[in-house]
Amino acid sequence: MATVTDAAEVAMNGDGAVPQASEAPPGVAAAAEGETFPPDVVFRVEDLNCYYGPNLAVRDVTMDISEREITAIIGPSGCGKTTVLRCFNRMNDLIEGARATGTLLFRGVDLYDPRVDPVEVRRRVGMVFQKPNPFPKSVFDNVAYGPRIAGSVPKSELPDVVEASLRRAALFDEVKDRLKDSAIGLSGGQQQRLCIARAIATSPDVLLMDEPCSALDPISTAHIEELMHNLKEEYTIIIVTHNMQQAARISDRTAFFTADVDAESNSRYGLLVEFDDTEKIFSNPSDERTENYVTGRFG
Amino acid sequence: MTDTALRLGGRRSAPAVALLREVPVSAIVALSGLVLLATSAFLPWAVNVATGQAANAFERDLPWLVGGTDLAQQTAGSFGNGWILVGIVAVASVAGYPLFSGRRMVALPLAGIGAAGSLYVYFTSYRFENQFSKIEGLVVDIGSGWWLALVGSLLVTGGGMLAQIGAGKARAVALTSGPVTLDALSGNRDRRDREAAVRKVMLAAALASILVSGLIILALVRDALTFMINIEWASVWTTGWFPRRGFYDIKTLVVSTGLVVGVSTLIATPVGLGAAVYLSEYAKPRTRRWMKPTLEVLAGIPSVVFGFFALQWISPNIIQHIDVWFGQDAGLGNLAAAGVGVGILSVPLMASISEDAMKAVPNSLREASAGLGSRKVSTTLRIVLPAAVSGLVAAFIVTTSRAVGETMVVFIAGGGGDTAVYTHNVFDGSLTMTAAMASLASGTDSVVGEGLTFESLYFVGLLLFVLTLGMNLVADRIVRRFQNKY
Amino acid sequence: MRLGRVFDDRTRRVVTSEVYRRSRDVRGGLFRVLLQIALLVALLVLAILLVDTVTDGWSILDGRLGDFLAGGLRSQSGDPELGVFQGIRGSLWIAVFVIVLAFPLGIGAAIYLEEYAPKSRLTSFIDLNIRNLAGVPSVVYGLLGLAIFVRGLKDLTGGQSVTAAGITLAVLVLPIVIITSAEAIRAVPQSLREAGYGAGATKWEVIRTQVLPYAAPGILTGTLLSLSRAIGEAAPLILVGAVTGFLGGQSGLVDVSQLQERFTALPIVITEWVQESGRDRGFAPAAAAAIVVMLVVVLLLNSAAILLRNHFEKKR
Repeated sequence: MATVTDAAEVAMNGDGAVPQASEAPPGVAAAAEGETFPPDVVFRVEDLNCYYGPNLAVRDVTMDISEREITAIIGPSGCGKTTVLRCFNRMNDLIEGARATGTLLFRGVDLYDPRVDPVEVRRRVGMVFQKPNPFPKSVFDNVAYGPRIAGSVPKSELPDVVEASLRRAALFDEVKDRLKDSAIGLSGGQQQRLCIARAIATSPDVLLMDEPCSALDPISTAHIEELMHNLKEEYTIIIVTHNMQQAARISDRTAFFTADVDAESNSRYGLLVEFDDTEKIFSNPSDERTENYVTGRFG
Repeated sequence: MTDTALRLGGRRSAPAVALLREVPVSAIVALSGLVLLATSAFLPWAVNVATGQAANAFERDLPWLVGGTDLAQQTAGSFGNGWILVGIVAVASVAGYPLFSGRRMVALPLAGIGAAGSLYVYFTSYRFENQFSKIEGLVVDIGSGWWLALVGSLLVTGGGMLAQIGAGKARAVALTSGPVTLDALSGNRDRRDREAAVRKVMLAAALASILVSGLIILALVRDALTFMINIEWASVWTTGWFPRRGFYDIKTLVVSTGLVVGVSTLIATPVGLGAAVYLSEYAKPRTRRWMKPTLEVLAGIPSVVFGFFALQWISPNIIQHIDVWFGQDAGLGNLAAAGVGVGILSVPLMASISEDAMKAVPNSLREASAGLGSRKVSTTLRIVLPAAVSGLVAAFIVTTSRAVGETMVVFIAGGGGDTAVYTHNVFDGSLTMTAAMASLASGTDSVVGEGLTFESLYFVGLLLFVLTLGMNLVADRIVRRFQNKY
Repeated sequence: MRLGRVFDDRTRRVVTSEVYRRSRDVRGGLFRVLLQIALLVALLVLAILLVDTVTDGWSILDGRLGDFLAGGLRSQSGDPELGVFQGIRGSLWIAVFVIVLAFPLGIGAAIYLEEYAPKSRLTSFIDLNIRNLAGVPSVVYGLLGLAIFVRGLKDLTGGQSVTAAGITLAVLVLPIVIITSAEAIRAVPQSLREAGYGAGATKWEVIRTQVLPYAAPGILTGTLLSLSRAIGEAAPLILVGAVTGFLGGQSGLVDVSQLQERFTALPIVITEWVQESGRDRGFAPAAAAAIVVMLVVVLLLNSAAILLRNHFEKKR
C-alpha cells in the first residue's frame, strides 16, 4: 500500500525539511498568512479530482465547507460521495493507487502539501464510519485510544477526557457502569455513539461521517441525529448519506453529486451538480438533475 | 531507556541534548556499526602492536594488507591482496546503508557494492582460511573478525532502529489542537522517523527469506560445481552408490526414489483423495468436527515416527507377508515398507489440498446438478471432481514432491546401509537420494571420505532441490489458476 | 390429487418409483462405503501406530520412566543409565532458537507482506520465494546448515553445535511461520484498521494496537505448529552433525557453555536406537519409549494449536 509512511517519508526526505513560504504555491502562502482565507471557512475545495490508479473517480469538485455547520453530501450510489469525504482527512492515502489533484485547503493550509502528515490531519479531522467499528476492547480503551497514541493527554487526565467525550456523545449515562466491559457488547446505536466519542476524544475541529446511520434502526438513528444537532455547536460536520430525509432534517448545506459516463473512455465518474443551502436544494433546486433526485424520480 | 527518552523529549532540554536530537539516529547506528567492525576485526591486532609483542606486526598479522611475508607474495597473484579490503568495504556498505536510506542514488550503489563484496568474500573465504592456517604464530584470525563484525553491525543496526522505535513513542509529547498551520499539520518528526524505521525493520525481516533462498542456492551450487567439475563422469553411471570408494551411481538413487514415490503414491492418492471427497461432499458437520482434527494430528506426527512404524510394524506385518505373492523374499528394511510409510505420511497433505480444491467448487454447480435429478455420486464424480481437477493435480504434485524429499522414513526403513547396489525391485533394500545424503552425513563424526565424497552430498542435494522446486512451481501455478477461476 | 387428474396411472407409478428409488441406489452406496474405507484406513493406521508404539515401549514407560528421562545415550540397551535426557536438552535448545529467531523474523516478514508491501515485483518475488521455501525438502535445509552454519560460521557457532542446529531449524520453519502469520493478519477486518487510522494512529500504531492483538490467536497457532515441526524434524540435524553414538558431559539442562558443543536431539536419539535395534533388540523398546516422549510434546503443541484455532474460528 502506498501509505502514511510513504507520505511521511516523502515529507521527511523532501529537499527542504524546514517549511519556507517561498516554496509553497503563491495562493497557499497568501492564504496561510490569513489575508485571503475567510475565518469561517474550514475547507475550501477547488477543482478537486480523485483518481484510483488511472481511473478518474470524481471530477471538478468545488465547494466551501463552513464552520459549525452540518454539510450533507447526497447522491446516488457510485457517485463518489465517500471518495470525496475521505479526501478531507486523507483516508484515501491508505488505498494503493489513490490520488487527488486540485486544491483542498484546510483553514488555508494545503492538505496535500508534501510536508503535511496525514496522521496529524486525521487527528484534527475525526471520522465515523458506515458500520459501527469499535475496537474489540473496553469502552474506556476505545475512547482513550486516540489521546493515548497521540500522547496528547497525561495519563492522570485520561479518565476526564474519556468521560467528557462520552458525555458529549450522549453515551456516558448508559455506559458509566461498564466502562471496563467490552465495547462489542453494546447495541448498534450505542456502538456508533461510542465511535463518535472516540472521534471526539482527539479534540478534532471537524467530524466526517460516512453514512453513520445506515446500519442502525430508526430509534438509534434519531438518537444520532439529535446528537449531531448538538455537536454542531462545537464541530464542523460533513456527513455522507443515502437518506434524503435525513439530509433535509439535519443539514444546513447540501451538496448533490451524481454519476456520469465519460463518452470517450466509457468509464463512470462522479461530479458535483449543485451545492447550496439545504432548504434551497430541497425546495427550489437550480439544476434539473437535483430536482429529479430529491423528488425521487431517479436514484 | 524510556525514562531517558522522555526526559530528552521534555519541555525544555539542554542545548547539547537538543543538538543531539538533530542528529539522525540512523547515523549514530551506522557509525557504531563501523566502530564495532573496526574493533572486532582489528583490536586484537592493535593490542599486539601496542604491547610490542611483534616487531613487525603489520607484516606478520596482516600480510595481505601490506604484502609482507613470503606467503602473501606467493598468494598475491592468485587472489589479489584485496580480500580484507573487500570484506571491510562490504561490511561498511551494509552498515552504512541506513545512513543514506531515502537517498536512493547513494544507498542503492552502496548496497550493491556491499552485496558484491560479500559474495566475493564468501566464495573465497575457505581458501583464505586455509592459507591463514598455514602461517605459524598468526594471532589474528581475520576470518572470524569479519563474520563477527558483520553479525555485530547488523545487530547494532537493528538494535538502533528498535531504539528509534521506542524513542519515537516516548518522545511524542503534548499535542494540542492549536491553530491550523502547515507546521502544525506536518506532525511529529520522531513519530515519522519511527514509522520509517519500523517499515525498514519489517522489510528486512521479509528480505531474510530471500537471503535464506540465496544461501541455499549458494551452498548447493558451490560444492555441487566442484563435484561436477572434478568428477569423472563415468563414475556417475556404474552399478551402485559407493561414495567412499568413488562410485556415485546416480541412477541407483533415482530409481530407488522412484520406487518409493511410486508405492507411496499408490497409498496416498486413493486414501487421501477418498478421505477428502468424503469430508468435502458427504460428511456431516459433526463428523467433520472430529475427523479433521484427527487428520491434522496424523499430519503433525514427525516423520521419524513413521520410519519406526514402517520398520517395526509395516515391514514384518505386511510386506514380509505379501512378498511371497511376487516370489520375493524381503528383508526387514526394504523400499516397499519405506514407500508405505511415506504414503501414510502423505495422506493428510493429499487430503487437505484436495479438500481445499473441492471446497473451491461453487455450490451453485452442485445445486444445478442436483436440480437436474443427479444423485450425489454422479454430482461428485461428474461435476465436482472435474471442476476441481486442476487442484487435485496440484495436490498430487505437491504430495509427490513431498514424498521425493522425505528423508527419515526411507533412511530408517529403506534397508540401505552406507552403500547401495542398483536395484529396481521394491522388496530390496536400497538408498534413495535423501537416504543417501543422510547416511553420508551420519555414521562417522563428520562427512569424510575419499576425494569428492563431501561434494557428492551437495550434488545429490542440488538434484533433489531442482526436482522438488520444479514440481512445486508447477503445482503453485496450477493452484493460482484454480483460485482465480471461481 | 392434482397429479391424478393430469397424468394417468402409469406415469404416476413411474414418477413414484423414480422418486423413491433411493433405496435401490447401489452404485451410490458403494461409492460412499469406498470413501468411508479410505478415511477409516487413515484413522486405523493412526490408531495402530499409537497403540503399537506404546505397547513396544511399555516395558520402559511402566518400569523406569524416571531414569529413562534422566539417562543419556549409551552403547548397550541394557545399560540402566540409558535415557533421553540429552535428547530432550538438545530439542529444548532448538526450540529456544526457533522461538528467538524464527518467530520474530517470520512475524515481521508477515507484517511487511500484509501491511506494508506495495504491489511490486519485489513483493511478488518475496511471496513466491516464501511459498517455494516451504516446499524445499528438509534435508536440503540440512545441507544449508552444514555449509553455512557449521562450516562457514564455525567461529560463531562452534561447528557441529546445537547453535548451528538451532539456526538451521529456525530457518526451516521460517516460511511456515510467515505463511500462517500472514493468513492470520489477512483475516483482520479492514474496518478495524480504518477505525485506527481514523482516530489518528500511524500505520505501526494501528498494527501494534489493532492488527496484532486481533491476529494473535492465529499467529500463535502457526507458531505452535512450526515449533512442533521443528522439534520433530530429524533429517537436517543428521546433516548438521547431531551426535548419534555416545555423548559425554551430563551438564545441567540450562548451561550456556553447551551452545557451542556437540549435541543430540530427541528425533536423532530415536533414529539411532531404531537403527541399533537391528544389532541389539533391546533398543527397540527404548526407541518406542522415546517416540512416546516426543509424541507427547509434539501432539500437545499440535492439539493446543488446533483447539486454539477452532475456538477462535467459532467465536467469530
